[in-house]
Amino acid sequence: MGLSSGANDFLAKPFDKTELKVRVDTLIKLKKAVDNALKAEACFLQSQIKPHFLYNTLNTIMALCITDAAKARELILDLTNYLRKSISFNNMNHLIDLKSELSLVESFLNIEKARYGEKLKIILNIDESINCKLPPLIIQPIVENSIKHGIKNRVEGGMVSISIKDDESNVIIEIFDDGPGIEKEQLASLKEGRFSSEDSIGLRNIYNRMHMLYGYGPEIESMSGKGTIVSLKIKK
Amino acid sequence: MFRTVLVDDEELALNELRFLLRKIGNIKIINSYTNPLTALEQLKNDKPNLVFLDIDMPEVSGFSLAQEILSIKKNINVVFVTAYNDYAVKAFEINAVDYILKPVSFDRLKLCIDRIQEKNVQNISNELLYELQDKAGKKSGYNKIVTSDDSEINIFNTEDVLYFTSEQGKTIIVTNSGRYNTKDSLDTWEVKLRAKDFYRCHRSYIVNINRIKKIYSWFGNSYNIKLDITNDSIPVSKRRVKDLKNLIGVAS
Repeated sequence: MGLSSGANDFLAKPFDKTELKVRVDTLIKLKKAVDNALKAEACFLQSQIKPHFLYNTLNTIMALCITDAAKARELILDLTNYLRKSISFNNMNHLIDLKSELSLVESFLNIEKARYGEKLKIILNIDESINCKLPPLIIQPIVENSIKHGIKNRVEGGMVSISIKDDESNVIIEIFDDGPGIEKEQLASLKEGRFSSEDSIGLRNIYNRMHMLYGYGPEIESMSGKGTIVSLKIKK
Repeated sequence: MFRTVLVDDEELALNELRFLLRKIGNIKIINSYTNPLTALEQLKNDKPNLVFLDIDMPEVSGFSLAQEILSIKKNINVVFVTAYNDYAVKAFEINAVDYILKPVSFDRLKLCIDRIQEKNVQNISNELLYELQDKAGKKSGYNKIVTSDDSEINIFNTEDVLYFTSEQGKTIIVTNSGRYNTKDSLDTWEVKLRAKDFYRCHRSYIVNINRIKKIYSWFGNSYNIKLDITNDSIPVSKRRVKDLKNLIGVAS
């Protein structure tokens, strides 16, 4: 009765001092655990859908409404698909079809392409016959990072390519950008699975989830001035 | 008229801003740039007095660009247009006049332009004041005032004009011979009349100084003006009373 009306615990009189203390400690620990879980969740949410991305996309759609209504309509569908797939957190631990993740990536790229036009070159080298199950939201955040570091920071723009191939036991997904590359020290810590900067929250999340499933994370190679390549090996 | 330059690394964002600004009027878009470095290089040629800047841009952020621009010419009005809502404080620290969030609404942009206009009108009134005092009665130029609206053009002798006012969004010129509509806004008239003896005594009024017959106090420390032939009372904004008294040579 007491618990169903919202209490977290109850203690019969007369109190035993030690028992009271233990109960309070347990409650404090429970609260901390819940806080941590929420924080982790919030962190992940933040790393995924960035508000400014939404606002910029809406601004782009507004501009297109005047000049190219058909394109505006397409982008609204892309944004819808992007949101729907990014927000389905309740099945974060389930595996999804590669095709579903690729549809999210495609919608995301369509939006970025509309925003950046000629400055963003996209090359897709995807074998359509390949399908496999993989954790959700592991390709899109890497593509987003590639565009951010490889292209957005440069006036002349740049190129991002995605290639998907397979062998007997694995599907290999490679995301390449021809941007300035990652600095040596930072690359070394990324390779060791240390993700310190705020920018790498998304990457850390991917690393952790892949590690739980496969025992390894994404592979990152980068050369100053040449670009960066991130490979994800997914077991079939 | 604002000589306006737009800088945003997204072409469509520039289109959107151009579309909205065209609806507002009194804005001449000199150039728009997707490359902030080019915008900076062209600053000398463009000679803008109003720039709209995105913040998140490659190589040079909107902030550094604003600082560069303001170090070259400090009275340029800088407005940030961004999807980020957490840089507003920094924007005002570097003397931006406004900070607008994307997607931009027409009303918000209009408010921004109105604010800048109000701020600039104040600067212009002060300039005008000095100019008139300097001239000390010396008249120059063409002694006619020409107004037009959609149906007619009217020409008045400057001394026949009593005042300009705006009523329900329309600008009206009141003269010895009656009231006439004119297309231009009061702000435009204020600039046009710089070389003549007119004074913007109120947001909605510009008076011919030579036709003032009486300035009298009106509820506390506000003032009204009576002109020589009409019975119309013209209000004087509180902050403009002192300027007006100086202008007609009354010690305050």
